[in-house]
Formats: sequence, structure tokens, C-alpha cells
Amino acid sequence: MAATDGKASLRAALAAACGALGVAGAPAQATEVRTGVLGYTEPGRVSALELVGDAKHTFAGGQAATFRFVYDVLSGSSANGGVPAAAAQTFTSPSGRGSYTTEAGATPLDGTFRDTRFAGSAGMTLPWGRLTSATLGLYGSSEHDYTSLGANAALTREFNRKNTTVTLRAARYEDSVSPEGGAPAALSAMLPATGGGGDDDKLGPDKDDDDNGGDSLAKSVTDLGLSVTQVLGRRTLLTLNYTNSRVAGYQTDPYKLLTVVDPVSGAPRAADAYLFESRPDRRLKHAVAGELLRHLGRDVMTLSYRYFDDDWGVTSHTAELAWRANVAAKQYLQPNVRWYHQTAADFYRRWLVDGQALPEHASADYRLGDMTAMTYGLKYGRTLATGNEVSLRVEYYAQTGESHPAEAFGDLRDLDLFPTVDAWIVNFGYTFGK
Amino acid sequence: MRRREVAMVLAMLAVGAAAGGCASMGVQPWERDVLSQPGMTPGEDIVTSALDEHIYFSKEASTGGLGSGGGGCGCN
Amino acid sequence: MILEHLPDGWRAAFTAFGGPCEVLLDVDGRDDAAVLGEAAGGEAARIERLWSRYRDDNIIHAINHAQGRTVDVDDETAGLLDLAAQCFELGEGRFDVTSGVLRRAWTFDGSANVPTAAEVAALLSLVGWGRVTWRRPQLTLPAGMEVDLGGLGKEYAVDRAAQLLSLRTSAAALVNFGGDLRALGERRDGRPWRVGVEAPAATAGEAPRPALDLELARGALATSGDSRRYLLKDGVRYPHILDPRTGRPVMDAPRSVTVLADSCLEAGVLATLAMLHGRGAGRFLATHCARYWVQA
Repeated sequence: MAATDGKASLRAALAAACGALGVAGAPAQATEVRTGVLGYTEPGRVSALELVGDAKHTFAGGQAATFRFVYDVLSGSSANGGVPAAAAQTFTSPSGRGSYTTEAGATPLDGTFRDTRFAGSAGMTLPWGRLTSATLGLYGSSEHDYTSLGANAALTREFNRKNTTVTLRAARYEDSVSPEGGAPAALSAMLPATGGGGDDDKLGPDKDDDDNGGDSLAKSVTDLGLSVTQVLGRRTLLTLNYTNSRVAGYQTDPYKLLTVVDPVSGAPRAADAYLFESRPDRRLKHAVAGELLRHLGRDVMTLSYRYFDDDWGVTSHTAELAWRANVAAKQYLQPNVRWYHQTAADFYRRWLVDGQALPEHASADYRLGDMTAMTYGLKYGRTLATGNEVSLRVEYYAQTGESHPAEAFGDLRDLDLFPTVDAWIVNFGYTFGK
Repeated sequence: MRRREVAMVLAMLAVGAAAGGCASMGVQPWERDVLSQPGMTPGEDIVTSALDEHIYFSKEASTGGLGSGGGGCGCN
Repeated sequence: MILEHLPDGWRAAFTAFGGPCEVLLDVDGRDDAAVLGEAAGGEAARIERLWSRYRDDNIIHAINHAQGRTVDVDDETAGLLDLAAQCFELGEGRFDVTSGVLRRAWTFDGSANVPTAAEVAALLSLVGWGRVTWRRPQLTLPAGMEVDLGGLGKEYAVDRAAQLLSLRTSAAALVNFGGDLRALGERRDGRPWRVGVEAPAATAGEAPRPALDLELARGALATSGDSRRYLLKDGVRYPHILDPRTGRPVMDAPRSVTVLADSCLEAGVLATLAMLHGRGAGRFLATHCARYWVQA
């Protein structure tokens, strides 16, 4: 055992030392496997466990094959879009068979979420001379109500003694959604539950899915991207990126509702108080982003910024700072802070008012509302004697919005209309190779 | 509409600057010692980036930017 | 530099590191070959100047004549010293860039001039990377000690030349500096490079003969061992590989060791370390190297 460790350590250490001189050879043949486990929990809401395995094999000719596998399970409660009310509220669960009740004053949470997702992708990078390479890939994922199939291609070319790298990317995804209980009509009223299932009427792949079998809706995504990475100096690297994404098809969240409130009291109206949301079926998104890597003595600072804009009216700014402190020869600590702010989509409505004309599109999904999110994280990584790497990261993520918007009236004035959503994220990573 | 044009112009400026103006920038091959150190490669920890992207994709309205994009999912 | 037109490309030959060097290029045009050959040859000359211990105008001279003062070194030298420090650690003291002073007592000229234990002991007090203070970019050597990067410089030059070529051309090439070499891809017709590694001659007078005939498309080869350099006293042969921990030759090492690795530096360090393991060379190679050749 000691001999095996010594073998890997001496060769890996030597390769790394030569790599630091900038003359290391591209390994003739190498396989690198990266694995990760992530636990995500929003206290009182959703919990998720995600497993990722990513393998890359480089062939003697310089070609590289990559495979990635993702498995995740999600369960818990998520805001259904309805506003809290002074009295208890009862909602029909998505299957249409059961129901759940939200206490007075509480944010309506649909506790029936449970999903399992498998995703896999494979790609091949083919060098074409020493300065150009092409990458082709396929992607597929499956959830009990959602399937995505995609293909992507990228072309990379190096310029200026490999100080400038330009990459062009294109990807196309064909998704299909089969909502539990069928896709509700836009802004149609939530129907009362048909069965006596109660609030334990969980969704899930194990569930009999007959009633959504024939109701599949399509969505296609076309992504185009251009990125330029420039070496600015011995210690500085800058990446600039532009992405354009065109989405066409069904983009409504079939499980999200809006509450229609009484124009005076602000309470849910007596009948048909909950309508299913409706979103436009076209969306064009743009993002411009920059990332600066700067080596400072022993440490590495990564600063990034992204501007995002779409034709739904969402504009966002994202800024992130990470500081990798190489605290010892083979160990580092990396704190990071991320700030995110978005404006609401044009059709975002926290509630609808009884008696007013229905808009063409409306959603109360807080993820389309005005929102600020902060992430604080700390990662610890270390290279083992075998040359393998382990890392552990803990992050805290919090989303805040306007709890008491100025336009609230009646009962709504006293209710928290945007409770802070916070989450803890722990992930463990292990990388090994030969 | 105007916002989109601003974004496009920004992107084009960035690309133009990088392709043209940066021809004189950069380092000689033997000056790549620092750039080859761990942490100096954009998107180095692809697994963590992929996990992060998935979280932000499912919790926020924005996508794209520096990440690889990744595939669709029903989480948003 | 001499340019030679071969049936399947060009050969640029020049002298550096005290021996013949060549670059084989899978290009058609003489001008292309000349530019690439000059680039490789220029790089070899630059590195030789940088770290030669026979010059009085370079960083090695400044370090070896600092008399205990601290010397600030350039980045490239610092990189090599970092590697030297790492090799000292990995080799548990066998690989030591301060061992050059032992040559004052050991001259491997085929004579019977074996130094006494006292002579060796006196010099050993001036050997040991452990006595050196290295805080990049500052190096402090106790007075009398010396650093010799010759054991890494040639291999580094091979890697650097290969890297320069790969940045300037997508054509296949083979860089060969005195038997330490690196291949850059198959030729356009798909053939790898044919490489002959010389077996060390059994005696000083015998002509070297190719003992290994290899095909190599990428990666690097380095060879350690040269049985033309030895001492012979009372029927005992003292090979020129010195163990810095004892100040004496490694007696049971193979005649030569050739290692294949990703870079020439790696191959060179692995080959040297293997030789320093003496009779344990084979075991060391089997443990740490994917492909290697031993001549006993």
C-alpha cells in the first residue's frame, strides 16, 4: 500500500513541479475523474441531494472524451405562488386528487414535491492542428415530468502565442414537459380535489402517472455563446463571455398559482380564488460576463461580474469574489461572496385583484420577482499524498425581496409577502486520476 | 430593446479588444509558471461550478454568463 | 547551425551543452526549417548561458561566489530551484544540486585516482540542499557551497525548445539534445519518430552503438549513465554517479537507465534517481515509471 502511495506521490509531485515551470508535457494518456456530493437544504422547505461524476480521458493523439453523470433527489415544500391570508387556505395538490392546508398568516407551500433526476452527457474534443479544437457533445436528462435532450458543439482557436483563446459555442435542447395532473389552461381556476388523498398525496416517479401520460408539452432552447480568454500578464487572466439563449414553447410552471384577492379586504376571493399561472411561450435572453483571475503572492483572487437581460423584462447583475488562500503547500481555503440582484418580469404579479381584467400572462413565482440574493461560502481543499484532491465547501444562500410592497392593501399589508428563503449547501468533492 | 443592443455592443467591444488590441499582450512561453498553478484556470473546478449553476438556475431568473450552460431541467 | 535536407523533412544540427544537438522537423520548406531550427538552437544557447558553471557573467556564478550573502534570482532560475528543492525531498537527499563540489575530489578520467575518506568527508560538509536557505526568489548558500543546475538544465532546454516549436508550428518535430529528447506528434504520413538510444560503451575506446531502437510519437526520453566516465583502482570500478549523502559513487547501479515520461525534465529526474538507487534501480523504475529501459 505504501509503495502504491509513494509511486503516485513521487510521479505526481514531479509532474506538478515540472508543470509549475510551464514545460510539462500533455500527458500521453490520462484519465481524470471528478466526483461531488452536494446536500442542499432550505429549512422548512426543500431538501436535495445531488451526486455528480465527471470523467475525462485524454488519448495519445490529444483527443479527449468526457462523460458526466448527475443524479439528484429533491423533496419538500416550495412556495406555490399564493399570498398568505388571515385565514387558513386549502389547495388542491398538483395531481388533482389530494389537498393541503396552509395556516393563517403562513406562506402557502406545496409540500408534495418529490422528484428524482438523472442526467448524463458525453462529449468529444478533437484537436485540429496545435491551435484549433472542436468539441461535440450530447446531453439527456429525465425527471418524472420532464425530459430534456440536447446536442452542443464548440470551436476553440488560440492566437498570440496561445495568449488569446476564442471559443464559439452552440447548443440546442429539446425538452418535453408532462405536468402531473395534466397541464392546466392558462389562468384557469384550481379545481377542488377529486379524491380523499389528503396532503400526503406525494408526487414522484413511483406514483401512478396515468393521468399525465398523454399531455406532453414541448420547449426548445437554442444557446449561442462566444468567449474570449486573454492572458494579461504573468499573473493575470481575463475571460469575457457573451451568451444568447432563445427559448420557445411551454415555459409556464404548471404547479404555480396566483391568488385573486378581494379589492377591499385583500383576502382571497370567495370562489375560484386560485388561478394557474401563465407565461409567454417565447423568451430571448442575453448575458455578458467577465471574470478576472489574479495571482497575488501565494493567493489567487477571482472576481466576476455578469449582466443579464431578457425580453420578459428581467434584468440582473451578479458579482462574485472568491479568494483562494494557499495556506500551506498543498492546502487552500477559499472564501467566496456572491451578490445577485434581479428586477421582476413584466408579467410578475404578487396577486391578482378580483374584478380587474385578467392580464394575458401572469406569474407569482417569486423567482421572477424583484429579488436580491447573497451567497457566502468557504471551501477547503487539499492535495493528498497520492496526488488526489479532496475539497469540502459550506455555503449559505439567502434570497430576500419586498416583504411589504407599497401597493399592498387590506389584510395584505400585515402579511409577509416575500419571506426570506435561505439555504445551506454542503458539498464534498474528490478528484482522482491516472 | 435598447438594453439588448447595449449588451450586444458590450460583447462586440470585448471581443474586438481581445482579438485586436491584445495582440501585444500576454506572456512568453517561459513566463507561464504562475498561470499554470492551481486556481489560475477559469472554471477549474467543473463539478462545483456545475452544482452551483444548477442551484442558481433553479432559484433565479437569470442564466448564461461564464458557465457552460448545461442542459435543461424542470426546476424552473 | 547546419541544415540538412532529409528524404522526409529537415534536420537542424548544432552544438550545445558540450555535445551534438539536433531538431528533426516534418516540414517541406528550407525557410521554415531554418526558422524553427534557429528558435530551438537559440533557446538551447540561452539556457546554457543562463546556467553554465563555466561562465563568470551569469546567475550561477553570482550564487557560487556570494560567500554567504543572499542572492536574488530571476524567475526562471527560481522555477528550477523550486524543482531542485522538490527533487531533493522526493529523492530523500539523493538528488542534490549542491553535490557538484564533490567533483573537486572525484575526477572520472579512467585513472586510479580515488580520493581518501578524509578528502571526501571534508567536501561533504559543503554538500546538502538542507543547509541552503531558499525562499523564492532569495537564495542563501553557506560560503564554499555551490549550486550546479547542469543536471536539470539540458532536460529543461529540451522541454523549452519543444514548447517553443509547438507554439510556432503545428508540424511534427523531434528535439534531441545529446540523447535527451522529446517528440512532438506523428509525422504527416502517420509515422512516429524513430529513436536510437546509445548503449554506453563497455570501455573508453569502444565506439557507442545503438542498443535501443524505439518509436516515439510524443513524450520524452532521458538517459542517465555513461560508463566511459569511471575510475579503476585495484580492480574495482567506480562509476561516475555520486551519492551526495555519502560523497561516494553508487557502486551497483546499472550502466544506464532510460525513462519515458511526459516531459524531458521528469524523465531526466526519474532516470537520475533510479541510478542513485544503485542495485535498487530496477525496483525504483518498476514502482515509479511507466516505461523504462535498463542496461546492466
